[in-house]
Amino acid sequence: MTVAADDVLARHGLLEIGDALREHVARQRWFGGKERSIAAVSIEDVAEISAHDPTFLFVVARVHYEDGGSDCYNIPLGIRDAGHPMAGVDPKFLITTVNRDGTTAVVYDALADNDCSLLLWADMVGNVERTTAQASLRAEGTGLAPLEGSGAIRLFPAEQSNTALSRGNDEFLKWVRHIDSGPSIELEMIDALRQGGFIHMAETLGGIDYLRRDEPPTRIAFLQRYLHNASEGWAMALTSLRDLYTGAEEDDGRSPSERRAAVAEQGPAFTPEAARLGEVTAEMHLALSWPGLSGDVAPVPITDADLGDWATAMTQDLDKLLELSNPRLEKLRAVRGQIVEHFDALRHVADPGVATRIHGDYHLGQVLRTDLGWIVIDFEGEPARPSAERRLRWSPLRDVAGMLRSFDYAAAAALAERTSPDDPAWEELSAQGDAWAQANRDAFWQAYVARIGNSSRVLPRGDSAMVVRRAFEVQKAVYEVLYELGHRPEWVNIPLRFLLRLRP
Amino acid sequence: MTQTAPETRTFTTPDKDPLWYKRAVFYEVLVRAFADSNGDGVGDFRGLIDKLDYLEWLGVDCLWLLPFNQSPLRDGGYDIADYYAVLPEYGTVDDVRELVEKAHARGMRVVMDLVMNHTSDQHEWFKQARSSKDNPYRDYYMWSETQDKYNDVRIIFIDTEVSNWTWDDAAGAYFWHRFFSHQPDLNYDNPRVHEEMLDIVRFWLDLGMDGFRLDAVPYLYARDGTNCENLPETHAFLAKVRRTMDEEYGPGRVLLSEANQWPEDVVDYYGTPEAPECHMNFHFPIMPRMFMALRREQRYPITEILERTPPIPDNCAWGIFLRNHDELTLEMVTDEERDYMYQEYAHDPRMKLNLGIRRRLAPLLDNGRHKMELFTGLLLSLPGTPIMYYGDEIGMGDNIYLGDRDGVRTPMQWTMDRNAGFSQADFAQLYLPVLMDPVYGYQAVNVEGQRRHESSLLHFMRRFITLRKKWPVFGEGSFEILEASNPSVFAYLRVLGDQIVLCVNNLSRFPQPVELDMRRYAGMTPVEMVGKVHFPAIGELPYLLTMAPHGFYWFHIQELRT
Repeated sequence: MTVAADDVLARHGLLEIGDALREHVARQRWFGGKERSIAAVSIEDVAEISAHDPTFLFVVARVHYEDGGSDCYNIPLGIRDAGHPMAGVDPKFLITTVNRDGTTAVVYDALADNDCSLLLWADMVGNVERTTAQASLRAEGTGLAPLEGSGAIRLFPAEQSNTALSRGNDEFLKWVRHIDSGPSIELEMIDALRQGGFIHMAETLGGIDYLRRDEPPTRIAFLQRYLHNASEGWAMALTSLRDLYTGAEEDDGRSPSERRAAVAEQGPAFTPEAARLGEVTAEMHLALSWPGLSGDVAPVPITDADLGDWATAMTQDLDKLLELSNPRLEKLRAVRGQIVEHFDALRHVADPGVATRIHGDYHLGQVLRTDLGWIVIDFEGEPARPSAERRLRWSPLRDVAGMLRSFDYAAAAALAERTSPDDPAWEELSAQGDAWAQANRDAFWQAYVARIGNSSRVLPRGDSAMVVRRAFEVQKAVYEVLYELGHRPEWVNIPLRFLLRLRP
Repeated sequence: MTQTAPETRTFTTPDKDPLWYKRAVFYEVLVRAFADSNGDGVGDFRGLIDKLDYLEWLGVDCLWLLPFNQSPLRDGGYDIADYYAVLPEYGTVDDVRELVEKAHARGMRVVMDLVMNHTSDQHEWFKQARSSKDNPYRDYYMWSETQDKYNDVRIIFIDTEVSNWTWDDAAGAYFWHRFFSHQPDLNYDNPRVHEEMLDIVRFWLDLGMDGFRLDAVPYLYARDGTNCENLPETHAFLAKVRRTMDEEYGPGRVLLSEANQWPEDVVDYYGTPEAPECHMNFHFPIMPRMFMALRREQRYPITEILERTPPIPDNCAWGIFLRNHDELTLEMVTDEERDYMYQEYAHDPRMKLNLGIRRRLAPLLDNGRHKMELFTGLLLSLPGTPIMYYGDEIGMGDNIYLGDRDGVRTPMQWTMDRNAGFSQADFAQLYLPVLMDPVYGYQAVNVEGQRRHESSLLHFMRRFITLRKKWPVFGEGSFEILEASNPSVFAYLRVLGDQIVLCVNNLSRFPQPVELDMRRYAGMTPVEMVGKVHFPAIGELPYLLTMAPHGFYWFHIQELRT
């Protein structure tokens, strides 16, 4: 902490804000350290973007854990006198009250304050550079609407690992909360995808970079073309499933072929969407495997050693799971051998294709249906994983496996909406959901493979593609079992059901 | 020459509102099918005249008459043998004049089908033309010694025609035809053909017609090395027709073109500011996509195509329809669209069943009352001029066993009396049997019965047609798709000055919630437009609505004084 930073904090009565921030951070959806206990929160860096009315500070807070580790978070602060309407801010944004020059002032997350958000936009519209106590900020934007007459900035209520804002009908801002070290993964990915010719993503309009000494630029705000009239793939899939289950409930038992026919003849079918999604996914992977990419995003051949390492790691993760003493794992222990066979099959793949950077967190919630077709979003990988791990290169089939598993989850989630396992109709409806998932997995996969075409640079040849895909699907399901046991035990049957039905 | 333009007197239209077609509700009517005044089993103009009161009551602004000119009827009247004569079973030119006068007296307008591309081979021009190479009418048509010309041109009626050239023994030459081989194409390189066609236009405008629906316009000219569609010469001729109409008759007459193409290509038929062509064009792809959206229970099939529809000049309008006398067509749209539709339909036996055959609205919607209402709501509130097909206002069915053309052309069902009140003829004498099945038959579905019941489909139609006409915003307002959190809900804003209308449609068979971003109208109140029910005021939070299955709402967004 430098004197300059202390000066800024002192001026606004924030020298003692650590404890309030600690409580605030622990409550936030975007805070990724919930499983660790926080020792303290300190201010790492600060810049005064606006001195008064509103006071708007760019703040990087460092969260120190009891285990000795720490993480940096991007928490812009707004401060207004207690008499100002912002004093009545939604409590989830309120951080504390402070005494500033003898008057009481409220401190809150600045993104809740339209005036502060407008200042962020002003920086991007004007391509402003600012010095912070420790580093600098560089904002950029091209083709943005003028500030004059800007309507209200919209703060999206759904809290994720980031915070989303939009201005007008055209501009969407993703405010990154966790400031990692190393290059900005999403920036790397968007850049690589653009170079590779991928068009099914939101157009980049600008952003704000945080420039630290000894670190590559970190993008803390992504400004993109707003995707108008978009729906999540998840919502689209559920629309289809609700129709299907309602029909199944009105029928007295269906044979397997009748269940397949019910999916094929369904009005709100999802399969054409799944097929188009398969094509878009293939295009994403063709872009990421473009031989012109270099450095950390270059595609590299998968070696026999890679395959062996993957198989070993997958088996180790499985064994770690099976070591848990949870009774729900009994049946899984019984089929360990069969599961491991799917991993070991990797070792015999002759021509495994290339390893590329991948989306890394690919599921129906990461794709949006728009009037221009499917758009893929959020290229930062799985937020819970360390940055270095998210930047690893894998077979693109790892993404494919993620999406295929997502079809299973959608079928299960729509089933859980309407009934529970103690309902006598549960098994019948589950079977109908399985038929839906299978049809959509097939539609997705066939369109994916067809779009990839004969390009051997991406996929393993011939039947090997299925072997690799299957290994990643199984790996993903094993991970899901572990995750669900820890977070949502009532969901653990979804991956278990998949693993227990695996055929050699 | 036997055919010349008879004497006519000029007739003025009801008023001089030049943009009437943007706010009007059109009604497509088949004279043959509507009402038979003389008991010969075939509908006629006098019968139609008798039903004008009904059409006025319903709220129709403009009748579109399917072809009624003298014709051998080998293509539903699209094979005209005399442009100045009326099919005798329909009546006389004087009957048409009387229809137009009586329609005008009620504030209604009338447009007629006009086939410019070709005539029947029974037309006097063709008879003359084929008689000898020196005949002055020879050059009215397109002749060739060989078939090796215009080789890049597709055959439209691929099921019945093997070539666009047909040998004519009498002429000793091949003649060119884009449609059936009994429909020779006129030769628009001949200036006399231009004059003939403009005289025909003048004749019917003099009689009082308010405009024309131009059949098959993209094909007027042929040029080697092209696909002979949408050629610049064709556009130039359409501009000439428009200029003639505007200069000689002033504004207020309308040209509605049938160019069954992709919207971004169809816009060319509106012409340019310097050389305007048609006032209206049909928007073809939106119709099958509405059925698709309902089936998929999501809005994207519709919003995609609207996204791809270019803006059109302010004084122009799209003609939109739910059903007409043609099939739910996949033909004559682009390959890309056909691929999309086939990809969607390929595994869907229910939808495949409905392709390529002609069905009416009610059977296509499983006779679902809520679906019919939802579709009518969409038709009346989407940007464009709604064109209804006779009988759909009472939910008439079809008879697919009558075959291709006739299944959707059965007699209008007026009453539950003999022959549905359509005709006093013997049943066997009817041009087509009236529908008699228990669901759609005339005893269950007829105008008389539905007029008696306020809750009938017919009263619903009338109520919403009336509402649409009260609000110019539906015809002239801007259109913006609204962000809706639920893919089954299709919401949009229509705005014209302070007429701010919000339309919300649930495409799902289940009740659905939806959150709309309405903050730009914070503080204002949505007032439901039929019952004037005041909904909660709009605030800063997303505006929540709950939608009944296949339900729809129209709201006027108002600043309420409290």
